[in-house]
Amino acid sequence: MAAEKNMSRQEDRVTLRQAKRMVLLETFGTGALFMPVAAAQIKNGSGMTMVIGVLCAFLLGAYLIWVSAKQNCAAGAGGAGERAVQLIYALRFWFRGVVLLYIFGQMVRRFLLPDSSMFFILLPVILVAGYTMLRTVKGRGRLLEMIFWWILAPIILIWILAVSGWHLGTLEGQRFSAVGDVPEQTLLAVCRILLFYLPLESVLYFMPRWNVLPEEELREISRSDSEKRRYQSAAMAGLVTGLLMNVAVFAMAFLTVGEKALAENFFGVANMLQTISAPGNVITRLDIIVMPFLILGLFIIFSGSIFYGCMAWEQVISRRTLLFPAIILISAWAFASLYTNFDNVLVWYEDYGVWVDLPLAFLLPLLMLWMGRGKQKKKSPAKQQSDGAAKRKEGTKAAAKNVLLAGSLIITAAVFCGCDKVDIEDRDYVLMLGIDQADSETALKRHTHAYAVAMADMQGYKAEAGEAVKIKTAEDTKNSLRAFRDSYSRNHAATMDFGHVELLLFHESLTEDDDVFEDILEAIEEERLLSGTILVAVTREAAADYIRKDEEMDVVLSQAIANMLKKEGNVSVTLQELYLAEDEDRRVMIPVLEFAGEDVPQVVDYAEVK
Amino acid sequence: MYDEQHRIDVEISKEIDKNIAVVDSLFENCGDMVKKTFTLRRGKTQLRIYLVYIDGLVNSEMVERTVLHPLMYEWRSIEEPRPFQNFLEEEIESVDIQKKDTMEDAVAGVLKGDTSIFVDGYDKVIILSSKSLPVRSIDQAPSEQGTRGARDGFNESIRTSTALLRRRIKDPKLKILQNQTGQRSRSEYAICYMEGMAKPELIEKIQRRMESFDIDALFDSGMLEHLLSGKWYSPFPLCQSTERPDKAASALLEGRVVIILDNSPEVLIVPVTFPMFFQAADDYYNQWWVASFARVLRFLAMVIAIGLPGFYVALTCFHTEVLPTELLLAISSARTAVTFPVLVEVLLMEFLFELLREAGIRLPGQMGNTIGVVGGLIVGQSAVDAHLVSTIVVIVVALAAIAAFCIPNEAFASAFRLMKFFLIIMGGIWGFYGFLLGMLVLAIHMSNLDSFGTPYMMPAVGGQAGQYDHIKDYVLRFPIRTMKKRPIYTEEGERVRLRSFAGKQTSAKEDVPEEKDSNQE
Repeated sequence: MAAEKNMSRQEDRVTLRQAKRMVLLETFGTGALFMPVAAAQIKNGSGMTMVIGVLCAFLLGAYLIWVSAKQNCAAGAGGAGERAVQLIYALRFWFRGVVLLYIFGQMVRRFLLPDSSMFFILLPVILVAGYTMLRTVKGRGRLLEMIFWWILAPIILIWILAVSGWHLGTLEGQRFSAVGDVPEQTLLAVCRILLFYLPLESVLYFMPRWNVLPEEELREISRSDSEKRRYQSAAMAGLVTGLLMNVAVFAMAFLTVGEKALAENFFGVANMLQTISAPGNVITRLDIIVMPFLILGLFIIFSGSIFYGCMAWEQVISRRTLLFPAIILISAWAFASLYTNFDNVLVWYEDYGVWVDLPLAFLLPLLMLWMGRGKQKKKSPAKQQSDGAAKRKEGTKAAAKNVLLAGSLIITAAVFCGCDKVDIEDRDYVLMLGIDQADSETALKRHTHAYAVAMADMQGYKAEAGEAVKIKTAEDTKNSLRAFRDSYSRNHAATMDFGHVELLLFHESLTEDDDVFEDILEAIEEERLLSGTILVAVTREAAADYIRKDEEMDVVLSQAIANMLKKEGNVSVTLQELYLAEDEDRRVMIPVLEFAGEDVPQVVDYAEVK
Repeated sequence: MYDEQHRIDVEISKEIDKNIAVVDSLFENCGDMVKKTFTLRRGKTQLRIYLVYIDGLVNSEMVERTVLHPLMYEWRSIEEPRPFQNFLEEEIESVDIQKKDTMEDAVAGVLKGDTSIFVDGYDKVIILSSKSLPVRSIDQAPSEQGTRGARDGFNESIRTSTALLRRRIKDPKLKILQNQTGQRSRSEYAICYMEGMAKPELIEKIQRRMESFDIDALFDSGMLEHLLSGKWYSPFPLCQSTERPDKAASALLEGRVVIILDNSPEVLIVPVTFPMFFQAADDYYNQWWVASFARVLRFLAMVIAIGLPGFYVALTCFHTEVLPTELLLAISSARTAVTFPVLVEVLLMEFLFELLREAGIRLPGQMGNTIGVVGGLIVGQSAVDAHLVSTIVVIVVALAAIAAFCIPNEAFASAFRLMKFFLIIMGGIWGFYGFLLGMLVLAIHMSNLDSFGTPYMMPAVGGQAGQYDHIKDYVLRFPIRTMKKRPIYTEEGERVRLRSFAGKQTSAKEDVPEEKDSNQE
């Protein structure tokens, strides 16, 4: 009997290291990705806003850790009041989980699987989240302990690689007083920041249950106190480390892309990753390799919200059921698949979070403490836990079989309906892109330009022969790059792939008008077809002429120009630098190319653009 | 004559004829039985005895020398009131001789290779150990070869195996609990542990699990392993198996338990953790930096074995922009005439490799080696020429296969080979996102595995494990002089293994049993 009690207690018990890492990941998962964006909303005051926000987050975390030492939410809800509190927690966790799943899906769609539906993207993550629901707190603690470095190590690597690309000029304009200039907006920004640290409420559920002392442990209160302090210290260490890492990520993002770029987009931090390249260009798009690990952190938070919501629901109905998490997961999946207005979701969540969720995060623990004051659990909680653990196992086994069966059927269906990928050899890889002004008639339509591309001609190409790849071209006048690509794909067997564009050419007529050029840049940025590391140049002749000439040459012109631009003495400008300059409202000098009788065009001048 | 558990429930009779009738009935149609009645003279009286043994399992010459000759000749003129007792204590010239009360024991002894001696007038039987079992000689462990270390290996005889352990640990605290399992096979097994080092609850748990199943027969420790493992659905082995006595002895001195099953050359060691599958015996015999390099290589090999094909599929199907342009064009040109999509191509090649591997195991000697050459060179090249697969895929799949062979434990490497297919499919459907989710599923599964109460993923999971030098024998193998403490699953009070070095006491201190770490799993 004692062994059973001991075993059932240990089923929901995390170790010190696990507690520290769980708190750190709950702090880091959403905080690192979205806190910088929230802080950057205050123009010229993002740094100060971040500091205030992080300090408030620290206070929130410390408060929750302090409460968890006095009252554990998973210890069993006694009366109606406690059940009502647990119900509110369950609903709040559930709603947060749904929103985070939505954000998760949007991130994956935006950065990794742009051509896939949300239904397809969220299918595997729903199943994986369901798999984590079958575990206990101890199991979850072990998982987080194990994958801890999966999330932290890529960030540290990125941080090191990003240092070389930092623009200290982004610090100009930052003022302490900017925060005071707009106090209401600052307060709102701080509240938004705190929203991303609300997952810290999970400490109320996974920290050991100090307030429930079985009779045999009542004699060892002094030992229990020292162990409680150790857990609190571990949790505080995790909190502080997590917040410091968030600050480091903020600094990295801020110094790399600047305040405006961060504030422009909810995924500002993720966008920033595109500007970081691997040493020696071993991996062309390092962000695609690193992004899934960051998204993993988001998964931890989302799955945690559902997991702890289930624990809260358990307290309400006094038993374990897998029906609740299944309903939540499926409804979250349905919502995310059907509702496509992401901006609306963010607005709703912000309003709900600031006016409802955040106040409840502070009030509910106080309410629990007040309801639990002076009470010592008289009944033997170990027996309750062992009963619960036994029921949990029975229910788990039966439900797991159903979940596995359903999962297998769904996966089989997905395999047959989702695998229409274009093979690597069925793509035409664009190496150079040129944009000219459209002719006078079509130029009246906004964003309509003449696009020309130089693509690798794979017909008869043998890499082992050591020869340069031949080039083929395509030209058209369309109102966007995407329309140009889609039109090409409809008329040809292969799909146009912009993943390896090395050089982007603008005809100088497009750069003469700052508004027109800004318009083009915004359109390109919005379409997200081109990487920020692409080199940019201006041409005196039509850009299409360069593209056509590439077809006749023995060398790949884009590579030759790129090498020439990177030579010492020349100034090379990337697309990302143009975006940054646009955000910072400063002028940039773009190299102007001209053939001038040479085989490879040379830099003859610089065009100043804003 | 048999009860529900297939045990003989006939008692030994004082009348020898009845015992003869029972034995004849039990061993009816057993042509390898040797049964003989002898009449002994003791002064003026006569006494009948009945010997039973199985031809082929017994050293018959020893029986004649130690039993028949003394009983029939040397003692024939002496009157003795208690012949049975005298047989046991004086007349039969053997050390390993015992008295049993039941027919079940008598028959069991015969089946094990002992000789059962019934004496007229007594309802007991004398069991003489006379085994001469057909076993292999001691050979090097074929699946665990190394550059240094002993060359002996366990074989099918349980006694030989225990003897090999005794040779290495000459400590009376090495305990060997013997019992038998298998209703029909009655296979003997031994639970070996170091008293004081192995946790009593671990030994109790093993004993409970050994008694928890009632099966016809166990022919190999592999079957036993699957019966002992808690999580039957996991592809990962939850017991370590080895044919090397030095590895088993080393495990004993870490507080682990070795289970030896008769007729199986592989012994089981529990508990086991994930890093142990990357440890080779000669890691501890080579210089620490050589051993550390080999360990790092094995961990990288694991990543390659499980992840490279899936990663390749994910990149080429979904994220071509990650690849440098030259490499991308090379891959694209190589795949120009290939019929199948990348996912199908990789799965096809993996399947082909698995076929070759399986064929290589089944075919004997030279033919097995030939298959490797034929398969690798001719079939692979032919597949490329026929545009079934591209050269890049052959390289990827071959590299993954070679990497899997770098993992010392074959059972563990096999689990990774299976998981590789899962990751290939995840990568092929959802790209790198799916690949990482697949890794996450594996992480969820493995982080929740326990091997007899010890977290499988220790020290990545397991709180205070780092205090017990787990990190020093993890990815890197630290110098022996720094590995002062035994692992966390050793009993408290016996955690220090290096007490002094170069004449100085080490800083390692024993845990005080009162400060029991409540975080231990």
